[in-house]
Amino acid sequence: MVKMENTTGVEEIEVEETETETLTDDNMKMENTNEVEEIRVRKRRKKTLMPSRSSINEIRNKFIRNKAFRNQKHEIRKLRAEESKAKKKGVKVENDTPRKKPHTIESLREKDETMLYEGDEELEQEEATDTYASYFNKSYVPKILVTCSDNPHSKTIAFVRELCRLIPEAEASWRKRTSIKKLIKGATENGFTDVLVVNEDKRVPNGLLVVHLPEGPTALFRLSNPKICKEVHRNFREITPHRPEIILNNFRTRLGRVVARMLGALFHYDPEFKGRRVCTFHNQRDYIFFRHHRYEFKNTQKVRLRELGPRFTLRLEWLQQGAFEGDYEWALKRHDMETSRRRFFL
Amino acid sequence: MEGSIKDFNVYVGTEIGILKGINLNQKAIIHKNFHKIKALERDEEITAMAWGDEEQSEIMMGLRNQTIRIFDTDAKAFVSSREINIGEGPIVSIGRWDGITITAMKSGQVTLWLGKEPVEINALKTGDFLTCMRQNPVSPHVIATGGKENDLQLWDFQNPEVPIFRARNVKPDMLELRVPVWVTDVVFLDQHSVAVSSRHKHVRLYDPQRQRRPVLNFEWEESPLTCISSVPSGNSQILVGTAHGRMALFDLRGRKPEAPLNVYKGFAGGVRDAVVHPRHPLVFSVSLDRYLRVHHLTSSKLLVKEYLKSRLNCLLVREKLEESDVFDIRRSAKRKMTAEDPGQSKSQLYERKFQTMIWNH
Repeated sequence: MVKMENTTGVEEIEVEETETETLTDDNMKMENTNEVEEIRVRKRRKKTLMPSRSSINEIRNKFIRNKAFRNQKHEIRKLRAEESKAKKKGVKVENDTPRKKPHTIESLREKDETMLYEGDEELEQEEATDTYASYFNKSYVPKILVTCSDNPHSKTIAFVRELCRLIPEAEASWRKRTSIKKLIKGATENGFTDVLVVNEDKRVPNGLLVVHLPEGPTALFRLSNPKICKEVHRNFREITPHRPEIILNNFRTRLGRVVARMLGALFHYDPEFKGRRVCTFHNQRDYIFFRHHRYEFKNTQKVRLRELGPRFTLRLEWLQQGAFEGDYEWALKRHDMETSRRRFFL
Repeated sequence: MEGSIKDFNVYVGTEIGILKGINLNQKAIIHKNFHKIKALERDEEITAMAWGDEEQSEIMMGLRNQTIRIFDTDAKAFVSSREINIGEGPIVSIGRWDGITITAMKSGQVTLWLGKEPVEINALKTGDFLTCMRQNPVSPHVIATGGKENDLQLWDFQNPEVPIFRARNVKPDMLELRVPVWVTDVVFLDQHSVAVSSRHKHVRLYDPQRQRRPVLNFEWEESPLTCISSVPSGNSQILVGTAHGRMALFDLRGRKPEAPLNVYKGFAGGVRDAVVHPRHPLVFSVSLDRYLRVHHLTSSKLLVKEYLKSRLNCLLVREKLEESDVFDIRRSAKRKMTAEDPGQSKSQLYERKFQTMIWNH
């Protein structure tokens, strides 16, 4: 009843055009001829393909439908088992149907004009004359000041201490009721290059303000799921003072690039590969996941990772030009921006 | 047709110093950089832009390193460049009177470059720095200046020593504290009024002939106001933009001026400059999130949104721009999306069928 060829991961929703005005069930049913398929493809070639239900759902009878579904699953499982067997043996299967990649929200992401591409002259020029140009020219070593809001509770204090262990050249300092502007002024005078302020709410850290000092950009991130070493069942003494490598993943838009530079510039530009420490900022769907690992290469293909240290998730709230003053380069406005599930900004 | 394609309707100055010309057209939006990008430095950032003459064939740009560059729009080339070394800081504003250039520096010196004896006005007798200077369109020898802790002042070049009008700060607020002043932009409304936007969210209207205190004073939004501009067709309507990315149209003569008539949405970053077209109901705006946007004045719909890669500072719009250029773009964009499948007429047929079906049921 249902042919195997048509059960693909993604199908295009089709409605046949007929002479009659009304659309009956017959017309809605999918035909399995190639000819009709071609016409469909031409008609409905949209830019983003939507995953659609398979044709089994059109069967009204529950018993027959379940049976067909089980058959289908069985066939697919058989095929996959054959494939993996063949793979192990190293033999190619004859009717090798290539596994179709399922569509995810990332692959269906709305087209963004601000995506970066290779050889963008304006981008290069802007970055060469940026406030971070001096960092990338290796002309100074970043010195970080980490504070928190007033009257911190134990979790926040622990988090601040973890951040200081994590970032080389970081110093913790208690807030003592200073305003952020005064804090910035004092930090610039004392030679700091960046300030991190951990905000606390309901006894748990929930925000991170990153200020680049000599009049650089300011970014506020919402911090979620913070976990210190102990909560990851590790000992903080495993974090050695070697300078870590930084990996910035998946920052594909212009805004993402600015944020990635900000986060990368918190660490020393020269990592000590001997220490085998790596800090990863992975952006996925506008959430930046931070992980801290120690890696060990078993051979050129395989790596073993041991997670050290804190783990947290960031989400950009706003990005401001100027050290906590000035105009906003980007501000999250939920009503205007969170209109589509497939639209991301970083 | 070729001429209109090459002709640019909108000119935008960026933070890295590139002048971009944009052609808003029915078919496609073309934009072009008029610079060799690699040859630019950061202190060649364009901080002020103005038309050089009535026919809008010349653009004057003021840079951060106190240079003036002149660009000819017909020849599409830079004509001259001139360094002025007065005071400190970037050129805040630039203008022309009778063919003579007027420049305003951040440190307060407003100079009229009259051949051998330039007339200089020191607009910053009190205060931190100057943020804006604008000429009265009716009598261009009268200018208005404002800055941080430096309230609105009106000067006349024929009498450069003393300002014609010096605004007075409003009364202290309910805690008896002095209300701080930080003027970001000034605009002349008609013969009698001047409107001012401030970084402390105030919008104020002054009448220099009546009183020194503002005639109208209200606050809008919780974000600093960055730019103000007037609707040229009169009626004392002004357009105000904020640092957070909102822009609104106010009518200062209405019963409730603090209620905006229209709010223009769609910005992600702060509005840097906004201009209303003199003849058509179009609002052009340029913001820090690297986009140029065109909204319709009365319906507040976003008509055009163009990504321009660098942070944008200033904006100039040609008067010759036709409304059809801007309106058709949106429709043709929709057509572009569906024109990719060759059965376009079929899909229209189908749509019609669908609509009739709904009625049938």
